[in-house]
Amino acid sequence: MKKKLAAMTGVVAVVAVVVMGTASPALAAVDYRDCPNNWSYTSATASTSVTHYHEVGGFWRSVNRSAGYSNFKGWYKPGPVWMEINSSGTVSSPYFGCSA
Amino acid sequence: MSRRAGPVAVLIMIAAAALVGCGGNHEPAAHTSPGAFSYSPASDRVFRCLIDKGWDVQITWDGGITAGSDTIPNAQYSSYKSDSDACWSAVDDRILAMTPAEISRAYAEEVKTRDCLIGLGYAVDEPPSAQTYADGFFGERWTAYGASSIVSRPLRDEEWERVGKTCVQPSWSFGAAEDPVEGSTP
Repeated sequence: MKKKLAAMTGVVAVVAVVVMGTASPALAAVDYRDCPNNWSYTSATASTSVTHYHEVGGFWRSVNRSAGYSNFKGWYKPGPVWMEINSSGTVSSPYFGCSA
Repeated sequence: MSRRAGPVAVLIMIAAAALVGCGGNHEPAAHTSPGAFSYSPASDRVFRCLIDKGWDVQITWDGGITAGSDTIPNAQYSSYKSDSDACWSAVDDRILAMTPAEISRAYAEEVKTRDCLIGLGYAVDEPPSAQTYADGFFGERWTAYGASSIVSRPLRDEEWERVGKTCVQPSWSFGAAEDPVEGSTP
């Protein structure tokens, strides 16, 4: 997944959302957003620990949080941002976007 | 930052974390135990695990363990993720081993958190029955936060911190104990 993301960071693409099941284990959700003037943002509720991963121009940031509802502001930098949420448990309400 | 900090560097990091609150976001509160790094005992456990493994990570007040390519080079990401997954698996495995009695207590705490959020002015759906909550605990688990209006709009940092410290999520403690909690047997 990460290699694929890294390879695609330079590609200008339309918004794409891939959600592999909403009630199955090991759910991963990936999104691409162009946040020209705002923070990139992810949030989700997870039954076990969850990872929020953001990548811009080959640089990455991640935050891991314990089970429950969590969110993460990834980048305040113009340009395309790849964002990913994954967990070994069930993830619900995955959200990707640019926040003020 | 090198992939593995030396023992001295690790000690310095631990001391610095204790002094400055691990990223400057941590403020001790009445309900956090002495020596806590954040409001999440589960995250604290993982944070210690990663520090012990020599990684340069930080922890926020809400238990977010942050890392990035500014301190962990891209070439070391896979190694970091492997260690991170191992540290978190101890917590997650403990969650998956929670007993019916522990789940029942978790439900009661979620209901309290719901009342707390409503008290701050947020709309929260009605909670499920205790049995429905238990039935979905290992899958689509109901949470007061997840059932609230918070998930539909990102909160500003200040508001998120105010809400998170006032209405602490019960799940932040899930998996924090290495052994079953005393009296947790069904």
